Amino acid sequence: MFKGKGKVFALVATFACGIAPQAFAQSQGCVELKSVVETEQEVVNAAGQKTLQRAPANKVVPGSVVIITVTANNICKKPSDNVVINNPVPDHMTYVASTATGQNSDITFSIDGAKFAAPDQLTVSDAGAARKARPDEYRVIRWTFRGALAPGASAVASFRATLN
Amino acid sequence: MISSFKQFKRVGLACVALGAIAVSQASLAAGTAANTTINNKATVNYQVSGIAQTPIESSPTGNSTAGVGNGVNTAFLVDRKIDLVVQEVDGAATSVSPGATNQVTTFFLRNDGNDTQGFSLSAVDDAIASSTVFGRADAFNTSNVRVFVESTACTGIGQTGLSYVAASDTATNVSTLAADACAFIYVVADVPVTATNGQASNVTLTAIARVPTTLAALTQTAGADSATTVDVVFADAGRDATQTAQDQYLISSAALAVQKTSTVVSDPFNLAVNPKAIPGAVVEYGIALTNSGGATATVVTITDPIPTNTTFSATNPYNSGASNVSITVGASPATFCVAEAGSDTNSDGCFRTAGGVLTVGSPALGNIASGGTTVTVRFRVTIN
Repeated sequence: MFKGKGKVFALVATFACGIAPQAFAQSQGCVELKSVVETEQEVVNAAGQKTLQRAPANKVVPGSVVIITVTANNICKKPSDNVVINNPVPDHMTYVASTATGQNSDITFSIDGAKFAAPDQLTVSDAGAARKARPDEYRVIRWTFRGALAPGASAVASFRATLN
Repeated sequence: MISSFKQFKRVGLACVALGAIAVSQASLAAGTAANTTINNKATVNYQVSGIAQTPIESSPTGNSTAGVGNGVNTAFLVDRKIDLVVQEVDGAATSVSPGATNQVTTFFLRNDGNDTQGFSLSAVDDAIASSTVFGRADAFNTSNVRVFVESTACTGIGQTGLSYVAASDTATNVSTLAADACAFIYVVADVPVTATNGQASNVTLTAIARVPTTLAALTQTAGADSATTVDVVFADAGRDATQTAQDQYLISSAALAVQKTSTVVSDPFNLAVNPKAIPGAVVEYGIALTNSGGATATVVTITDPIPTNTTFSATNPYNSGASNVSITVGASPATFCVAEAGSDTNSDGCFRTAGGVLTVGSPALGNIASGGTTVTVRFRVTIN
């Protein structure tokens, strides 16, 4: 069961990248961003039917899978364009392959937080050679939504991750 | 509100702050430590009327205050996961002799949970015919079954150089064992003298995960999650914080078979040609010993009453007249001894008692190795 992911990738700490340079700290934006983490369990209802039920994740046992859902709601009267949601895979968690979803979005992944690419194009340097990155190595997920987000509308991004 | 954003420059989406990403995330079998807080925070970048806006971080209920640091982590706690592995070490039975005491079988225990636990231990001898281990059914009972913990720290199941030492391995439970740590466990038992070669006796070791140090029972948290306290979840097979393993004691002893034959060597009239068993005839007795067991038979002594109506050959028919008992091991040349009347005055292991019992023992009769080599003791009598 030992996962053996003790690899340190050749990358640079990323806090030095460009963050919002302006100093308007407390301004209201046009998007309300919500992130919920849920667990999903199979329940059998009174009729004997099995359904999957989600509940907020309060405490999670290592090895369990949680569902992270981010919702961007346009709270202004004008549309928002080029909406991009970035969600780092939390520490102590591993992305579950092929679970990132988001209607009307292009989804890309990153190992280092700087280079984003589709799964087929994302590479990582391993012992000096480049190879395709594995889904369990993804550390950031990006949803680039196409078209505009109308006032009052929501864009939803979701993925699953396992607690190590 | 929106108009104030026109003064903002485009904020490049060059990178995303990742915090501690550069650290390798080695994953232990036990999992993330219990009570660790797992934080999730997303960020949205967007434009209004073609102008990039200050990114907004997420919160559990929804955040619209722009700027780094104005979001709130969506967080959850890591539960305490209870899991353990108990397994037999070596993959083979412990070979024992009948009547041996303090015979040891060795087990390996590992804490596969994500928090330090204590472990209570108990061992029982399996009832006859109740279990099969290594393909052998349980056929006898050991007694005085005890459990002890190896006092030397465990580094892994392949660790060598450890053995049960009564004086130092005295703990009978594991008081604390960290997540992913291991311990070697000894089950010690006594073997009955009545057990026979090839018989097996199985033992079962049970380990139960417990509260550290006090070894109080753990209870799995039932009902709804509490948002603020860490639950206990039993993650072992069977969901009861209990695991068992079995090992085996296998008897390896000598198993002697004795076969006695007689041949008429000569009679006074036919001499050696088709001699008959008439008074005056010489009869040679052969006692063949075979050891079909798994261990060498040592200190073997044959006692054979000289048959009534016969007289032991006091004249020495073997070894060019020097001996009256011959011992042959397999195809090797015969060795000899002299069975004196009364007592073994020449200390060669052979003599005849006052009551007429021929005794042949060590050193003339050596150990009888297992594997079926036949040892034959020969002597002659004259029919009265």
